[in-house]
Amino acid sequence: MGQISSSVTDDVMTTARKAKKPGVNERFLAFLHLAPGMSGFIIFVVIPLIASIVISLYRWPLFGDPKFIGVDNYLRLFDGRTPVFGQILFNTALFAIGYTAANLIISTGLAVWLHSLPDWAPFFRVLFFVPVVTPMVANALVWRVILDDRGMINGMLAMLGITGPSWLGESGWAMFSMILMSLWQGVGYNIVVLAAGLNNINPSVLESARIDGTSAWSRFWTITFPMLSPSLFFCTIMTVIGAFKVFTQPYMLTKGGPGDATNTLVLFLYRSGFSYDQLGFASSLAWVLFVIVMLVTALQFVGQKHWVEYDA
Amino acid sequence: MPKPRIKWSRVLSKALLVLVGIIFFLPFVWMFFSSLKPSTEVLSSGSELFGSRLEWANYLEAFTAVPYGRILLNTFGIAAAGSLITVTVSVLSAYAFARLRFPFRDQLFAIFIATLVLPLEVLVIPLYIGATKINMVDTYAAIVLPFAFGAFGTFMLRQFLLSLPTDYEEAARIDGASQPRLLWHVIVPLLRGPIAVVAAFSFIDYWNAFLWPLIIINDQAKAPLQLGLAMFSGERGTEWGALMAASSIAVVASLLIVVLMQKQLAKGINLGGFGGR
Amino acid sequence: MKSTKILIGLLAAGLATSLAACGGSPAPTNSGSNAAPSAQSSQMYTWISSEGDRAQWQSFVEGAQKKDPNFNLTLDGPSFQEYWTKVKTRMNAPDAPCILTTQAARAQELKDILIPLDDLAKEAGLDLAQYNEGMIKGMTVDGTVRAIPYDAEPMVLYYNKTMFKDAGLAEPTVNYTQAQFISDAKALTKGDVKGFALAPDPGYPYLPLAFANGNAPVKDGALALTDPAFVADIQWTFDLAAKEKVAVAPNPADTTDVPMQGFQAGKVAMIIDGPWFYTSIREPMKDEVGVAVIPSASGQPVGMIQGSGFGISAKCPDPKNAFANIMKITTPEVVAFVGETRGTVPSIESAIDGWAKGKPAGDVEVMKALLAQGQPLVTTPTWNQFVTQFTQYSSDGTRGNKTAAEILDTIQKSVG
Repeated sequence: MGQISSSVTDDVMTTARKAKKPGVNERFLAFLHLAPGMSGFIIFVVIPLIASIVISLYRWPLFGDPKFIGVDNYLRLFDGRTPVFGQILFNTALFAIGYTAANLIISTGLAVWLHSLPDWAPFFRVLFFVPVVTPMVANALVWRVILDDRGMINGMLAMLGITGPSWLGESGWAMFSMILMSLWQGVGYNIVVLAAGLNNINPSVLESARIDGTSAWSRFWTITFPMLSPSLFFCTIMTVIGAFKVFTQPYMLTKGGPGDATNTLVLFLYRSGFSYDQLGFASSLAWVLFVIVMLVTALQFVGQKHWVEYDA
Repeated sequence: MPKPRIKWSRVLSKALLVLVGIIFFLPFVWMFFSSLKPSTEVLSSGSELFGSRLEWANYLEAFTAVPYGRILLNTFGIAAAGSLITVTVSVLSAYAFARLRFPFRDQLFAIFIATLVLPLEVLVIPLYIGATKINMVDTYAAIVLPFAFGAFGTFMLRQFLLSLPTDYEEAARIDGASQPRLLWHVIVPLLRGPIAVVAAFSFIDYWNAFLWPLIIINDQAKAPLQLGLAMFSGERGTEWGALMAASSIAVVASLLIVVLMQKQLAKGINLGGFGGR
Repeated sequence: MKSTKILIGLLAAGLATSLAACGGSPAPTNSGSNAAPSAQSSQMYTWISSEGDRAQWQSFVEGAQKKDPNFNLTLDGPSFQEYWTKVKTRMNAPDAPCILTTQAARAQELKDILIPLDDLAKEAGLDLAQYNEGMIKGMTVDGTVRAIPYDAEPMVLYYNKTMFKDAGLAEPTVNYTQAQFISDAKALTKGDVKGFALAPDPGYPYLPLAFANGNAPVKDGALALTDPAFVADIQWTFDLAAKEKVAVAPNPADTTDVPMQGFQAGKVAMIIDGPWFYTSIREPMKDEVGVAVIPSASGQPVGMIQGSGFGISAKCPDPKNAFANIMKITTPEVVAFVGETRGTVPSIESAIDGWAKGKPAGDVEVMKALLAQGQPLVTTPTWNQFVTQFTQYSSDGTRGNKTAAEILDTIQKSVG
């Protein structure tokens, strides 16, 4: 934009807070535009980010003075003083992978199904989307009541003559219940995103394939899936990142139990910082989380070459 | 055109979908029926749909045990203010990144976008300590400001802006428009769709915030919705009936918001390609 | 723009290091003068999320206003669950309230915030001996009393009189052996109804049952969870669900009011809970509910006494006036008034008669017996971790998947 006439420049400059010499000062304009966003970004993201590393090098109680202890918080995680850490990492990874896989399969299935019934699709998309917006606390509470040993689900199973398990009291089932509840809450979001992706697929391509006599199953894999892969990739990334940060579900549904079966990284982080009064240690956990998320995301970006097609 | 025959596979498909929909909605149905049970029976009545009586008083209690009406209004206000700030900042930043040239522009943008994967859990502890030091704990500003400067809005709007021709803007410049006029009368209308998406997602993020308000807010009267629900537990136990009633109200409120916003969400996602967070 | 970026970078680094160097806020200057009382000495920080909580604190103020109509306290605070975290940060601020509440069980955890009150009490002429001995002991940390207790609540056994009558069983009173308890519970467990109920929290009812036999989780200020007698008691409690099947095995997220709810719904015959529910249970159930001592091996239990009190923050600029206010709300009259209206058992013996008004004589006798033979629940600064982990693990114990020895060993290693 360097060839703008000076009269326009003058008008632009009249809005500037300071008087300016004639001549385009695009940089200053950019500065003005970016000032609010960037200052907020620096104050609320960059500085806390740096500060959190600093804090993780301290023993920092809620009341009282912090004490510098170097990398001890990190050592503590890996040298055996925190025996539960291995379990926590395992749980978080298990949840992240299990939930993401199930979520993508279910939401893709539902999105494709709804796509085949276009007159009913909008209503059902809203229906599936409702749990995404309702407060997680309310959702978790009602699921606690439903999953109770003598709650609605076991009651309905009893009517069919099946004795339901203790959904929240047995280790394996507790993780399953957590994934199930999260799926109910999360698939709606991906369905909406995938529906948009499906809408962008040229229907005539599918039509000609159908006329050629291919089955629905092979049509899906050879046509729909590749064309949907950018959207799927996006959904995968966002779902996995969200899954690694799971907090409200274990906090409200299982408290991390039974035993430590559903104890996750962010739950442990929150407790360490705010229940056990160890903010420095909690910060180090936060950084472990961040590193894991970055690694996983980087891996996915590397892997996208193998299955994502942008010009289908 | 031949008369359409009944495709039985379609009928079956639709019937199955209805069944799936009903099962999917069951938890909310259960929530509603639980809200009509006396408090002590919510957990102990197992799989029975109704309690010993219809306790409509739970709904009244939801508003007296905790200042719930205030909480609902608060949450709406916080979400509205937050999404407004987010949109404003995003429009300005997106314009700069998309239309202006300045040194290190692309590098800065890359760093900015990298924070999309940054979990906010990393930030909550320093933000909390910082807030205690400047005595901003328990304020609305503390709930709204820290998360209004994320990269998502800027990313989405810049994406869209890049795909638009600059004709309108150049025409406006030639007509002598000043920068604010340019932004308000040309850019914003052009970006109406994506702005609605950014506003909608931002609104929902604030509406459902839990971890940060849990950490930073003590005063009941300032609590947003999720925190308010958690406040139904006192020293002497939880008011389950009122809690279920409050949850049902929260669900209905959230539902209304979604219904109102679904046009924006659907349209915006379509426009933005595969938008979303 | 480059220089701007460098500047910003330096600023960020500078801020970060100053944050670290800053540490806690500076201590207030303690002038010690008897100038006009600061506003903070009339402010109290406590747990206040629900109406029930607020009404309780208001009744203290009302009780004090009977003697001094101008008395007032400004109340502020988060929900009960969040209190133990928030109090630590709130008290950091220079404008924090002077008075804070604490449970005896958390006095250890808050020892850095609560200042010793012995000297203040002496100066003001307050006789600490009038308060329940167990409670004073519970509020003592490192040799000094940190809070003035307003209640002394021994855990009690609530039982459904109608169910006992229908089963033809004799009602327990001030004497109840474990053997008798199990036999009664079995007789009362039929169909949908269970003889007893458990929550995952250690206080409901693991600790009272251990206390009844004289076993406590803390010895000499340290966690002693692997003590064989304590382990045996916890195992006995687990077995109530796992072996004897007189109680439903709870889930880790069950709150402590789940057994109470079952009791009030008529699905559970006996529960162990705090006497603070006494008034609210009798409202719907009237004479159907009875109160008895906790079952013990010998029949004569040691009561587990919990309670709360008021203390003064270390950052209070005006401790003398704050203490004067505390004295006003912990007189025998006020404590009796609160006991009468809210059902809390007063911390002063003479006030118990106030609490006893309108209650059946047998119930009052049970309370007195438990108080007389009572020990306070003393904790450690890491108590929070113990409670959280026990809550997570107890569901494995009640289902027979793990033994008490295994669970307590794990917790002791991780927390002790």
